Amino acid sequence: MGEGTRQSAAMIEKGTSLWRDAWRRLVRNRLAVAGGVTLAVVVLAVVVVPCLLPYSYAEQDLDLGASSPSARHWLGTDQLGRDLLTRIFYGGRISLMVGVAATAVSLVVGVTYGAVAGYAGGRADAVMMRLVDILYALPFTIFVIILMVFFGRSIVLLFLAIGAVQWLTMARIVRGQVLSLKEKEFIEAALAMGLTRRRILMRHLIPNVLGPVIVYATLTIPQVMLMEAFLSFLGLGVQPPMSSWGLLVKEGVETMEEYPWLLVFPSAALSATLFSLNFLGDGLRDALDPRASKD
Amino acid sequence: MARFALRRVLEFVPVLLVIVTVTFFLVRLAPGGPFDTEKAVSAEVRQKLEETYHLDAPLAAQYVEYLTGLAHGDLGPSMKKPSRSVAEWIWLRFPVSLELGVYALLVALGIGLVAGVVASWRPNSWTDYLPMSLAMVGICVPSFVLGPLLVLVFSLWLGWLPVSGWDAPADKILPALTLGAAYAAYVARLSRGGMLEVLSQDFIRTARAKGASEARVLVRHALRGSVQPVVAFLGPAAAGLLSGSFVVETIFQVPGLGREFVQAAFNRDYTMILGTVLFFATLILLFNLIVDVGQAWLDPRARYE
Amino acid sequence: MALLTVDNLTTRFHTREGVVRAVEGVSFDLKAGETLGIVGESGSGKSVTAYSLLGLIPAPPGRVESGSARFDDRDLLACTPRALRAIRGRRISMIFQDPMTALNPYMRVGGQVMEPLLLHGAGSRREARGRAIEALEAVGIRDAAGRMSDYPHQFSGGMRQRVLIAMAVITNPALLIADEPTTALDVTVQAQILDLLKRMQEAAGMAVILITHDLGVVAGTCGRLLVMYAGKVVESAATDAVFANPRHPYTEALMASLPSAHERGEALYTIPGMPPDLIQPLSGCPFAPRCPHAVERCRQETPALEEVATGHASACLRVQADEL
Repeated sequence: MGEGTRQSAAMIEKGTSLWRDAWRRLVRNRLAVAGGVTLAVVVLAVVVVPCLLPYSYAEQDLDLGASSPSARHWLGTDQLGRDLLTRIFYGGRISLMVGVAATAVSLVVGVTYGAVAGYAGGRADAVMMRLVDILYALPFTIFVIILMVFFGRSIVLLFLAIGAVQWLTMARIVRGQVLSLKEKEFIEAALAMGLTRRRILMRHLIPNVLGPVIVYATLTIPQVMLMEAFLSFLGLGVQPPMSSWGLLVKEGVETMEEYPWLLVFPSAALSATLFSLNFLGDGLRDALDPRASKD
Repeated sequence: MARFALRRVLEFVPVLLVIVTVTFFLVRLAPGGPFDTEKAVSAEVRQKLEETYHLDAPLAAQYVEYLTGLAHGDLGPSMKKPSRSVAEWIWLRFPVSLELGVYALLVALGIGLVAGVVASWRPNSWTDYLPMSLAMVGICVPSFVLGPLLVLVFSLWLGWLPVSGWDAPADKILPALTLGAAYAAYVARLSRGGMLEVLSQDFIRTARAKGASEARVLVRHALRGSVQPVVAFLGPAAAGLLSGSFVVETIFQVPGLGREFVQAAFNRDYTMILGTVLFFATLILLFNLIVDVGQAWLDPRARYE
Repeated sequence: MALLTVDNLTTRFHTREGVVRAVEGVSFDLKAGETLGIVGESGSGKSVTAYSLLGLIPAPPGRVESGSARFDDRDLLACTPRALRAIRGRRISMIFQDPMTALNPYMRVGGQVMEPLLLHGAGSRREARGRAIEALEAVGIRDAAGRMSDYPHQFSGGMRQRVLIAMAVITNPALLIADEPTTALDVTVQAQILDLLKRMQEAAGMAVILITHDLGVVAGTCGRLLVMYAGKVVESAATDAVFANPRHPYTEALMASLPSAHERGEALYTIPGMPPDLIQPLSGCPFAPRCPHAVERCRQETPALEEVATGHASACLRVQADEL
């Protein structure tokens, strides 16, 4: 056995070097790192901070009314005297929760559908993918709007509906991965070299599918959050007294001229989080598949 | 090519049928009807209204009745705005949305393609980072934030443009910009990616070896091959522009079909909802077909097969 | 008076893994109308040499570190981009290795062949069109006028290479650089293309630099040869002289590995070892690790290219010292 063959054998054994390479590439990408750090800060903040805040998000101070940022209220108050800082943190919780939950829904549906299509192959696969192609073109938003208008404004329905919109891309990706993994040659080669099935599964199959799934999940969360904000803007999303960034933006828009801070701060919070998620997602995609990167 | 198009058109029918059915039963199965929220309406009047629209008949019968009407090209009367039939409302409102959509698309393609080509000229330099960062802003700032912000700056502070309306040409600038911004961002990213991929191919080197300037290489040689991802994106973009129009038309008081749809949904105007959904779906399917045909035409290799 | 004088050309690529010394101190002359062959393995620097002359090295990682290339009374390596563009395609043309990918798949062939004329302001569109048809006919494309509006994918590999040649010579350049013009083609087509190149060259009095890894290709076409290894020229002489009497161990080894040099049924000779990693700075002769005649001195002293017979130069220390 020549040197080259020995090296390849070692690489098949290692398998997980994929992750290490990807990690190295990721941390070299400054924008992605910045995004990741910001995201971590945001998540930590919305989980922890509300417990520390002196004001409750529903606590009103009608005498005060809307006021610009001050020492007592760092980001100001809205027309009912509610502290904006508190509302932004609570709203963040809801927005992020909807984002993650809806993405989870789309993940479950998409991965299942894609895996089945890819594994089945042949006619079934062709039919299933044609369906995806057709659905991809339609504006699901319309159906979500109808759903939300007609079936009430429950938050569970909200993330089910939004999640149902996003599963298509995930299905396509997973199916593509499964199809290419069905090129079982390397699996047979690995088996011939004495690797157990379990090892192949853990070190080769799962990382191959997991990678793109993680990337697109990361990129789906901001799209979902945007959609929630969009629906809340139309009055169909999160309902008061619960708050979300989308709802806060809507309220801000309504009084934009007189109380600009009510628009600016929630918008900044939403945009910053979306930026971080997008940069992180882009970075993950470049790290995991350098061929698909920008240069 | 013609056979391909024909097959696709035939696919429309089952798809639209499914959409009609789903929407039909979805709205009718929900609690509440179109006339429940009428405040100053007595029980008798309401009953009469429901009779007029056959809402008291069994669901299946209503469904069949609707489909029959469709087969004759009749979308029914608008339940909440009876002065016109659904078809007439669509006829009235759609051209406005179409106009807005076209402008937004022009904004998206115009700004996006230029930004993408410029960015691809010198990758990883300022001419790359700047347009792409702006593009990221376009993606991350929702239209209902961007719109009001633009209004704040250009209408309220600078006074250059009107706040809302749709009559004078100046009215149309801000809505088109707001709607097109996010898509300009996507087009910029896609065209940059497409350009970079094309620029790494051998025939670009041949063009340079012939003495072509960088500008000519970018525009005359690379651009044609790089627009493919952008064209592929046009399909979903059209769908997005459509949904985006709901918000933009609401913010800027544009009398278009998007706003009409949202109002119909809130008003539970069954026929109006069904009519607009059908209309939108048909539009999107048609547009996607055109895009697919266009894609095949763009690549000469595909044309001759 | 030489048409092209290259002196001490050094090109390096600055990559994350290190600095790749692709071309180190290459010098040669080329007279008008002459055919020069540059022979070497992949990675020997032969293509990079040619690309450096025309400024086609991708600039961020690659850089021409030093040297000069005098052509038409100017130094190509010190030219402004604009001046260089005026030369490319007009005074110096280049054809590339893979005809399948070298043509723009989205443009009609006619437009591409006409382009050099239009770029360099050589007449109106109609004149350019006429000349393009003539050029296509000259390279053997039948029904040239009709074929002008075809796309590249409608041509076979050999035909595409002909189109590329037509495109390169349409402006009557003084020098044509052909980078592995036959490598991607079938053997039967190879002979035709080489023949075509020879005819075009004789008709126009053009100088040609033919880059290849195939000694068989240079045998019938080139008057003089440069043999390159690891970015350096190791032997330079008239083709006949090299074939009759190779004065460098690498050239010897190359010739010994030609299938035609073997008896039927004999095991093919291959040069043991691998070409050196161009990132590591090399001391001594780059071929030493693989050379059957290497001695201790070879690993320590770096040989320079020196004349060992009239018109025959070699970069082997032992050959220079008359030991081989």
